[in-house]
Formats: sequence, structure tokens, C-alpha cells
Amino acid sequence: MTNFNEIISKLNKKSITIISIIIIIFFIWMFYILTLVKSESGEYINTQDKSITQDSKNPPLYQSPTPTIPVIQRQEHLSEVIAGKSTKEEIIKTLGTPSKSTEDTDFTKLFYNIPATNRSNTIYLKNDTAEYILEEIPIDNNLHAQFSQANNFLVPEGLLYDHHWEAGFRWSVFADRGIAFLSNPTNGYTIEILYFIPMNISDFDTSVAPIFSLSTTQPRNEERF
Amino acid sequence: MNKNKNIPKFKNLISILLFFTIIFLTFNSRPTNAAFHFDSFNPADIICPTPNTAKNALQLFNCFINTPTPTPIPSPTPQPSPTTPPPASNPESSTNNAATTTNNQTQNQTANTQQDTQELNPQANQALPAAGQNTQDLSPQAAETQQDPCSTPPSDYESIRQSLSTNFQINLTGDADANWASQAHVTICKLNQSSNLSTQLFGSSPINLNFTSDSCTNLRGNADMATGITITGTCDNYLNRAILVHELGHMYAFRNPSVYNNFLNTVWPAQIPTYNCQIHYGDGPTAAECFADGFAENVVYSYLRLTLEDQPAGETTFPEYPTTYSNYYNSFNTNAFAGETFTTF
Repeated sequence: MTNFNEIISKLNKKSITIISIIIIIFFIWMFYILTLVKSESGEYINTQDKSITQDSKNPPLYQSPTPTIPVIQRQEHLSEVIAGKSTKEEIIKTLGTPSKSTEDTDFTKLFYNIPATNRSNTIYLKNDTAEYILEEIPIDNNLHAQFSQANNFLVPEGLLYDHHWEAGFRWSVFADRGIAFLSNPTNGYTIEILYFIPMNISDFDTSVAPIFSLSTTQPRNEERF
Repeated sequence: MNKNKNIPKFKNLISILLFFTIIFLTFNSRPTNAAFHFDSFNPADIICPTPNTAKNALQLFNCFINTPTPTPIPSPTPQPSPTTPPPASNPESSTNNAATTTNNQTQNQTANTQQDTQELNPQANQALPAAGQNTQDLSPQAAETQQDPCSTPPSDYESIRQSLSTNFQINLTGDADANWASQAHVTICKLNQSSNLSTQLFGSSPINLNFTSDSCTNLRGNADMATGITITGTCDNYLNRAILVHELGHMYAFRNPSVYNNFLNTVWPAQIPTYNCQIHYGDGPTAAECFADGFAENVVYSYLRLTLEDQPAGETTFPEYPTTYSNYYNSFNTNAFAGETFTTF
């Protein structure tokens, strides 16, 4: 203690000032470092909730890195293709070169693959003009419910079935609007949308439904084992 | 003199140190906590005895980490040894008679049914977790280290029916006997071990399950969103259970369109070599049937490949399913079963 006091007594005013500045800088540095650790950890103990909560603004760095998952989304600009109006040239100009195209006696079909999925949107052309647009919906949605709500809870004119009925989906046809949703009747979750030239429902049943293997009666879905 | 002369300098230094120490402690209390990760225990487990206010005592550093109270697991009922013949009352024998039909696969599977009878031996009624309550009793660890409580369903038909309704929201109707109902109970109980299925399948709303007795050759099933599941006919235990899981796969798709949509995105149009996926009365393959067969195979592949009259051709079991058809297996394992695997069935 005596030695310490002697050392202190030997210090002049200038030395004390320098030591003080060094100590201040040290504390500021410590404060900065610990604040940085807090913000990077993104985690603190919430003693009120007795649980560990995550700071949403600062996700923790020690989490395993998020794997790169390809983003699945609906095809852009497909809504610009209009049934009965858009020509093949316009379609290719809007959507680009199709992933695949086929021709049969009735239609030329243009397929556009949806990235990161096994699915593709299909445009049916007749005389080089879009006749039907079959859009796959690869994302979670309630598009049918949204459409219905936006149109004053419009009720579909027809309910048709295809093989997706065995997974709980059926076609809700709004023939005079030129649109049909393959959707879950409970919540409006939609997996496909068919766009066509507006018509009455009987014309749809006779001319459009057979092309897409849609049935007005519920198919038998009994399995043998 | 010297000492007194330098006291002001010393005081200045001490004052500066104290000032910044107070500032440091004040502003860094939370960051300091954050710098240490209490991963090994939850703060809720820290127990600090309540101070005795009567003694006006100051209590410091008396906290301790609480040791979790072990949850009691129902004591296992003794199992018959593998060499012990099944009880005479075991309905397996009667179903085996029904299985000796033109359905070739059922004949091939009868060799495995001896092992299966261990699970199906009706035992005393036990409390089972309700749908949506995936308790510790039904965890995979419990299944492996303890006897699986799912293997001991109630003994009589009425008790099974009530247990299915109470615990899993399954309304069993029709003319099923105690054996078939017992198999259904074991199967549903095992599926309910998956946290996903307990909430997304059994926990959402009741499922009607109607059984109509018929021969093995007439075995068929149907799932309808509104009316539920209908199963007709009975074969051996594996097939009886597999058809039920297949139909529950349809019910799962009805109730979880997002999982089915994901199946369309990433799995379909790949197929697995099962009857209802690849053939299905000649109008297949369909995504919905492949979904239901994939759902079923994730549970039964070690014991059964779902064929009909040897179509599609191949082995009766499906051990290569998780590897050769990993896109199917992984998709269902992740999205439907929440990582739950089924070592016994």
C-alpha cells in the first residue's frame, strides 16, 4: 500500500490525466464490444416470460445457415395473356420462348416450366390465338375465395370433377367470367386456374369440359387392394 | 506530508474510476446476459427458495437448477416371447383363413403375421393421449425403450370404439369385429405419435370410419371429404392396416391442401410401383392415388408393397422405398409425418 501511494505521489497532473484517458478509452471499448455481442447474438433472457425469446431484428448468428431454397412463385406476366385475343407472337414476346411446345389436330400447346417445380403452365392455341390458359398455382393461396369475395361472393355456375377430386379438389366454374378454379371447397385453396373465353355454362360443359377431362358427376374413387 | 499532498490526485483517479465503473455496469447489464447462452437449461428451471420474511433475511446465491420430475410411463404389460404361440382367442387365425384367397400377396405375407400378433394381442384398457396431445408416452423413445402403449388397445369392441372416438376423434361404425377394430386402433394410435398427424389429421375434426365385413378378395376402400372412410373386406393384419393408412392419406390430403400442392410441386409425376399409384383400374396414374399410396408406404414399406394380384410385379415388401424413391419418402417424412418414422407396424 505504501508503495502504491508512493507511486501515486510521484505522478504529476499530466500523468494522471493520461491514465484517466486510457481508462476511459478502455471502458468505452468494453462497452462497444459487449453491445456488439448483444446485437449479434440477437438473444436475451426475458425474465418476465421465463423463456428465451428471439430478437426479430437481429437473427442469431450461431444458427445453422439457412439452406438455399429456390423460390417458388407464379409465372410473371401470364395474366397478360388473354384467351381469345393474344396471338402466339404476342405470347412469346411477353413470356419468352416456351419450355416445350406440341401440336395435335386441335391445339398447339405451349408449355412454360415453373422454376423449382415439376409443373408447367400450358397455353392452348387455336389458329395461333390463345384459346385456353391453364395456370398451375404452386404457392399457398386462397385465390378462389379471394375471387369470390371480390365479386360479391359470387357462386360458381358449375362444379366439375377430375382426378384431383381424390385429394379433395374440384373445379368451380364461373363460365360467364371465363375462369375456373381447381380448389378445395372448404377453404378456397387453389392448385390450378383455367382461363377461357367467357361463355354460358352449358357451352362450357359440352365444349370445354371434355378437353380437360372434367366430369359433371363425382368420379368413383374406390380403391381395390 | 507527501501523503497528504497527493490525496487530491488520488481522489481524482478513484472518482473517475468509480464513475465509469457505474456507467459500465448500468448500461451493460443486459448485453452481459446476452453474451452468455443459457442453452443447457431453461431459466424457468432455476429454483430460488422464497426468503423467510419473518427473519428479514437477505438471500443470495441460494438458487439451484431444478431436476425435471420424470413423467410416469404406464408400466408395460408383459409380452409373450417370440416363441410363445399366439393365444387361441387371437383373431389372427380367423383372418388368415380369409386371406387364403386369390390375392397372392396376402399369402406371401402370412409368414410375417406371427411377429405381428405380438402387437395385436388385446390387452387391458389403457389411457391413450387424445388427438392433438402428443405426450411423452407415445414418443419414439418411449416406443423403443418402453413397450409401445399403442400395442395394447382395449380388449372388447365397445371399449375400442369408445377409445377411438375419445382419443382420436374416429367414429367407428359398421359391423367390424373386435379384431379389426383392434388393428384399426393400433394403427391410428401409432400414426397419432406424429405431432403433425395428431393435429392436422386427427385433431382437426372427427373422421367417420365405416367398416363392412366381406372377403379378402373384395377388399376395397374409399375416402370422401364429407362422409369419411369406408372399408369393405378383411385380409391379413398388414393389409388391413395398410388400406386404412392409405384412406387416411386421402383424408390428410383433404385437410392439408398445402401438403398436396407441395407434392405436386416436387414429387409428382414420379410414381412408385404400387397398384393404386401406377394402375388404379386402368385410369391411373393419378397424383391423388400416388399421394395416398406414398403416405401409406412411409408407414408400411418394411412389411408390404401395396400391390393387387401381383401388379405391379415385384417383391411383396418394399425395403428400397426410402432410398430408391427418396423423393416420395422424404416428402412425406418431412411434410406429413414431421420426421416420425415407424419401426413397428
